[in-house]
Amino acid sequence: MNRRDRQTVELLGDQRAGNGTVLTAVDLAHITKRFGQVAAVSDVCLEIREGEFFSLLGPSGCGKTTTLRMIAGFEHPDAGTIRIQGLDVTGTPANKRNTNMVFQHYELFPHMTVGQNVAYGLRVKRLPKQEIQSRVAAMLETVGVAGLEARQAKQLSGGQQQRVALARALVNQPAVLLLDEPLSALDAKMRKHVQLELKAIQSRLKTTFVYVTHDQEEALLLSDRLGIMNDSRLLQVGTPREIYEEPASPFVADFVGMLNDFTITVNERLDGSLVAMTIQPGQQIAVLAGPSAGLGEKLHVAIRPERIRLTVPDAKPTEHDGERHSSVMGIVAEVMYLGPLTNYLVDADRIGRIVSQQASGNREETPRPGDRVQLSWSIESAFLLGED
Amino acid sequence: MALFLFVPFVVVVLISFNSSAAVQLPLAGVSLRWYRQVAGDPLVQAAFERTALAAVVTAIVSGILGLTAALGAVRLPQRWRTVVFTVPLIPLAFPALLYAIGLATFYHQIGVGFSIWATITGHVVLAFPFAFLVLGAALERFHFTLLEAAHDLGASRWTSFRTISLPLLLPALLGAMLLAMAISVDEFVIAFFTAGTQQTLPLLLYGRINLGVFPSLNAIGTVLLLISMTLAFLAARTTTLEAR
Repeated sequence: MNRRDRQTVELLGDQRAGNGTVLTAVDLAHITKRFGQVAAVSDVCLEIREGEFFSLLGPSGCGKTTTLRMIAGFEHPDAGTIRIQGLDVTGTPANKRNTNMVFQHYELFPHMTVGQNVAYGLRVKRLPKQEIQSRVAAMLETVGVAGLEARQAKQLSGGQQQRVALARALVNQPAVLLLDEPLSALDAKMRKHVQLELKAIQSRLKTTFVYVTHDQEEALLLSDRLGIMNDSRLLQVGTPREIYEEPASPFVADFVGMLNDFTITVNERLDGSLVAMTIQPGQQIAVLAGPSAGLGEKLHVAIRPERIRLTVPDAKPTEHDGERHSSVMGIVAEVMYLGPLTNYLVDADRIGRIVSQQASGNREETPRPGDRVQLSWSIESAFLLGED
Repeated sequence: MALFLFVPFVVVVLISFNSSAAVQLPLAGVSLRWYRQVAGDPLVQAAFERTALAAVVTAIVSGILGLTAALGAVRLPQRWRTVVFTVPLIPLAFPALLYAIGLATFYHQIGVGFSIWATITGHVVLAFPFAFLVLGAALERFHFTLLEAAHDLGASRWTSFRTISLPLLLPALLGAMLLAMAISVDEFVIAFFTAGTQQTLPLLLYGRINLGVFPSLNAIGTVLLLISMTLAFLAARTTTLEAR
């Protein structure tokens, strides 16, 4: 798809801007950045829409932070163009860009009070004292730390520092707010809490958020759309559901969640584009493969653990509502109790080790290691893995 | 060890309060007559002013030079940084006498002559490595991302230096300057070879010893001791204050 087509699609797809025109908040066109011989970002094209919560997700060293720093203006691309709200800012330094950043370690100014920290950007812009004061107070209220103006930045808890850092950036009403793993320094419980608040603040203010994280759960939870990066490249952009359920490559599929993958050899063609490997009557793995797949072909199939039902074999038939299912027998190797969920590691016939994730049930009904069980899933929930 | 370190100081200080002209213990009586005498001596006053001038100028110049050099040095790659922070230690191993004679010869050669300003230049050269190392250590601990944060909020390079770097580095800068002062105040060798007729307090003290020993010399010595110790103490305090 070329650039114009993509823009047309976005125009059709996004109705949020009231006056009918959809603005692109950030437009990265063929961005490349090298550090010495190492390519940190290779030919990244990305359009981030006005008002959306966009996450860049990937393992450490994948180029997500460098991409963010180029949007901020701390780094400049070796090739490509950066536009913010339509304006070419490729060569513009950070202090002249309408973006603000929340840093991983907050970077609050330790010699200033909370009030002075949050007011910093407005004071640099020489706004009237009255306006600064009221905007600072209002923003501290918005992020949930009202009245802390006089505190020293050093005296705050981790969660409070995080909020003040957010306020210090947002008070400038940036076109884009950039967040560099802002929750990574918080403990797990606090993190969950702040995630929800962050999302709430974003939907209230309608500011475009660009959020960098290596935590897939966080990215799926928070984002309107997300982009997956690996090894300096942007692999896929989509909504959390698209990324999770229709990953474009094995890397994406694996990175955004636990994944079973195995190989089947086609030995039967079913109707339409459906092909199958029949192991024995009642045990068949079918998958939508397109018309080209022939008998004897090996296919790389993937399925999420939570999509696999696990039943005791002779309990009841596996067909439901006429929907077609794949099913295979196996022996439970291990049971991993996770609280609300339980993971069953099952050695399935022919396809090997499969993880099935179930809601934890009564202790008596729970299969045990050594039990023979049936694994089944609806055909639509399995997908083919392409090449990386 | 401690005995040999402190007893001489104690003796000097005690005798400065002697009411008689004898330089010996026990004291004949306690009085401030030698301090009064010294304070009224115009030569001592002039030497005191020169010493103060040298200390203040040395502090300011080596503070600014040290900060500038340290700011440049911390941006170097690690390999070069190690070199740059080791080289300033080398002059410490040089005999001060040799350096002073060399400096005096150099001044004579270029024809600037001997004066308190010649001495101050020598003091700056002497104090600069200390200022540089103190500030370099402070900058190693400095979070440069804070400057990025300021830049991101719209601050120019100069504004972020003025509002972020300078306040945060101020304790280290003050510490470095106080250290430079302490070095200048009791420096003797360089002053001896370069000050000419514009004597500093240590030179005056040395000159007077040749004329005979009086408790008034102990009074001058005690004042010098007090100033050096106060400066060294303040330097240590401000530098540790800065650690966060």
